[in-house]
Amino acid sequence: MSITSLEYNAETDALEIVVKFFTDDLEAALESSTNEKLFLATDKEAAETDSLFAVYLSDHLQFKQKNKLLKVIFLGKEAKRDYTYAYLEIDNFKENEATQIENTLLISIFEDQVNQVNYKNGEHSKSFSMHKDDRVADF
Amino acid sequence: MKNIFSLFLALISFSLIAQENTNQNKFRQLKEELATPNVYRTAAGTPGHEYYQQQADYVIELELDDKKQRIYGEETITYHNNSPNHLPYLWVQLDQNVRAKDSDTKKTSTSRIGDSISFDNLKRMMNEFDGGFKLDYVKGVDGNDLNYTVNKTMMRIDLDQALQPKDSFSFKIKWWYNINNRLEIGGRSGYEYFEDEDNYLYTIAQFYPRMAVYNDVEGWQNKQFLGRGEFTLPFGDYEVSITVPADHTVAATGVLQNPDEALSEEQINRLEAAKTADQPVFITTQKEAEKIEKKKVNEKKTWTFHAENVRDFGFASSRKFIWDAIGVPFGDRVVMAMSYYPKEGNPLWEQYSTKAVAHTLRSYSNTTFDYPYPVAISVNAASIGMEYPMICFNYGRPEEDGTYTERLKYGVISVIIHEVGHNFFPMIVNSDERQWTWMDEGLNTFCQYLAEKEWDVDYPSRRGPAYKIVDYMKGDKSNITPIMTNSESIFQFGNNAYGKPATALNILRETIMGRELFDFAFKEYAQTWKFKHPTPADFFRLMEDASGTDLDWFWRGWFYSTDHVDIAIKNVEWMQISSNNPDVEKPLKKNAAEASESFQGDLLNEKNRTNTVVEKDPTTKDFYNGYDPYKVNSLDRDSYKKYYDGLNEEEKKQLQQKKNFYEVSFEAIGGLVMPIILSFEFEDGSTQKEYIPAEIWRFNQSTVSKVFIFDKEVKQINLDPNLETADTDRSNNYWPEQNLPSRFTLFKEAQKEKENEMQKAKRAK
Repeated sequence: MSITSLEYNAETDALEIVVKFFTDDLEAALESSTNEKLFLATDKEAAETDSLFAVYLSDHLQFKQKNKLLKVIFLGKEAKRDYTYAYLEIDNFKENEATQIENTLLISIFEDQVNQVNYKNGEHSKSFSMHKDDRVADF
Repeated sequence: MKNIFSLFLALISFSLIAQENTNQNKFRQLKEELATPNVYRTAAGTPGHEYYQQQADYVIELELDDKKQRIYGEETITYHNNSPNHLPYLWVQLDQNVRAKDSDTKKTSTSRIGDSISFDNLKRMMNEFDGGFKLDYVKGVDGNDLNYTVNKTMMRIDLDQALQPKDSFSFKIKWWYNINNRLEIGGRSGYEYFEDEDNYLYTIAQFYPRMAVYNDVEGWQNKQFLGRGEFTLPFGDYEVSITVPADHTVAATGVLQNPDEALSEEQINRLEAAKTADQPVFITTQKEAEKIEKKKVNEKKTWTFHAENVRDFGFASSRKFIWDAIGVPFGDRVVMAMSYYPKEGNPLWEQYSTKAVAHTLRSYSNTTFDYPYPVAISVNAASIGMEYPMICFNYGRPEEDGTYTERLKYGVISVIIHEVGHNFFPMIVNSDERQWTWMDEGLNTFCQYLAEKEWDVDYPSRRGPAYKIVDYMKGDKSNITPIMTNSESIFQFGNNAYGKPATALNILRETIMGRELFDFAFKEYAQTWKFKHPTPADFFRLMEDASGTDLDWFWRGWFYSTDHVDIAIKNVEWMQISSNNPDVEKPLKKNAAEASESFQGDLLNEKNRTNTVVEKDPTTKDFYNGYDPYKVNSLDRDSYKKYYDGLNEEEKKQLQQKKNFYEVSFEAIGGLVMPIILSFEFEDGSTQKEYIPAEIWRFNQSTVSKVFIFDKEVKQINLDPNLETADTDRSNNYWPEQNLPSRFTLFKEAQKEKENEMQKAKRAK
């Protein structure tokens, strides 16, 4: 299970994205792409973890408007208890445009992976879940 | 197209109307959902005077073939019909058939490859493993073949004559099967292969044809095993002899009957010493185990175990096992808490496993009943946690250099507490796992949380506290099912069947019933149903019956619906009592009128005052132009005096109070009704907590209001200040309204403050 929270910030005109993973799940996914141990969220964490993570996110969490891929900026990550949070941002986000999200986080690792997405724009909010048979959604 | 659409709309509005005319009150009783009480199960949630349960006794002879990774078995089952019914056939579970080539599990699992698939998933999808029971024979004790029909993971045995009430029937089955590689194709039981040293570690269960449960609520529980809904089995006595390579150590349900043959004299002495030791004692040390695992012997050895009143049997076997043990006294009994693990589990396992087992026995016994079995075993097995009576298989392998993460440490302690805890639910309080996962997983996860907090107050528990379930409960409802959903159809298994019920029980204990009422009722449930088969209705009813609390609204909301908690402070009105004294009230009213906000047009017109008709021509003025509505006259005073004199002493006192009245209105946006817990902060900085039971919502389940009276003025109100109710949106829990920073804002702010290393170096110059 991963949870992606999307919130449109009218002040900065940006879509703020927070993705919450179980650290163990994330580690399994990142390690399967390098075949090396990463020791996530420990003192021994591998130096390349952040760049691997950023690449992983850009491959598995994509946003489109008018069929064009939006540029997602990876701001960083934070570990807390069992979880790792990723912070991402899309600048100059057109809030009135239909947006398509393609979410394939962890599904190649866990067959029954469920990716929850919560979108919030002021009072308006929408929540949906995505999995291997349901990778694309509009919000 | 248009027509179809409008028809659809009409249907919706019809169903809405139909709903409005039936009782939708969230506090209506659960009687329509729960089965009618009867002679088998009472309205108090206890077994009725004609409650019965079946019994199945087993004598099993097994051989584990370490060369081919096979199990060969022969068993005699004696089935006791304690029901008042004639049974023309018996149902036997063949769980191994879930791994047969043509199993429904494979057929009904959805699959897709997409642009990438992991090697593990590919292996699982492509596996050609020849699993499932191969039956040699099914016959009566007289040696004659019995008629039987295999229906996938179930087998029906047809009897020549129906089994009479109070009668028993014995029969024999011979079988074998290929053991699965757990790490390649999954499974709760199977083997792990250590390639570099060519050794196997077997954790074996569901290895024999087992009697299905027959009872008053399901008839035969012969719902097919698809892999997720676990097991439900009748109690019985087991005599199991297991033949393995002579250099293997076997851990199993029950008590070893032939220690003189199976163990060395040294090991027997160490076991005896462990009974009264204050730290775990090694029965097989790491050094000894490492010596044994380096070579293989051809001889065989048989280990015989006996277990009474258990609902299943499991065992583990390997030449890699380190073994340690400690005695845990219960009155004049000593229960042996033991662990079996390969060197790959150390140093984590020798430090924590057996201690976690012992702690679980003590903690759960305190919450429920004294652990009744003679042993409790934790076996190290890669990447799973799975429970059987007296024995469980748990993950946890440190790095090769012996280090491990904090997550792994607490993961290991948690999984051991959880799986050993399953001895209580469902091994002893024997609920039907194939029907209701939450009845054992939810109750067990709740007890696990208590045990973790008794291990360490700061224990990083994953599940239990109300606020931890918020993300799940506010999620997309199309991906959530009520807790009362059959095990095979649950979405988000962990959250649904473990996290949410455990949290619900925690909320009952901490917030709704209180610890004293809850703990008594929960213990009463466990003790009433130990060594019996409870249903959800028995649990719901007994919790209410033993505590004198109507919880129907809570079960309905938390267990039968996917509603969530989102209670909001909608509005706050602040009022004071009018003294009715014109000399006090009129100046106040005047001040208030002058202080009130002015209309922009009036402000601009003010400049034009001298040019108005009434100013320019004084003859246009009369009494009303000079009238001051706030001026106190003698008539006002007379009428006040009359009013005041008419009051009695108590009324006069009330009138003089300088109290502040706050009328606060609340809205239950999420659908679930919950107690309203408020913290009032006053102007002088002091605080006061108010607790209003959920029943405040019983007449109106969407909005309620309540008046609070204080001497002091309220500065701030916080709804659910201690995060007790799993409120999913805290931004509407404040008065005055507060803007809570999001996790994103907090992260960005923290990033801003951070200097990078170059900046730091520059500053250091």
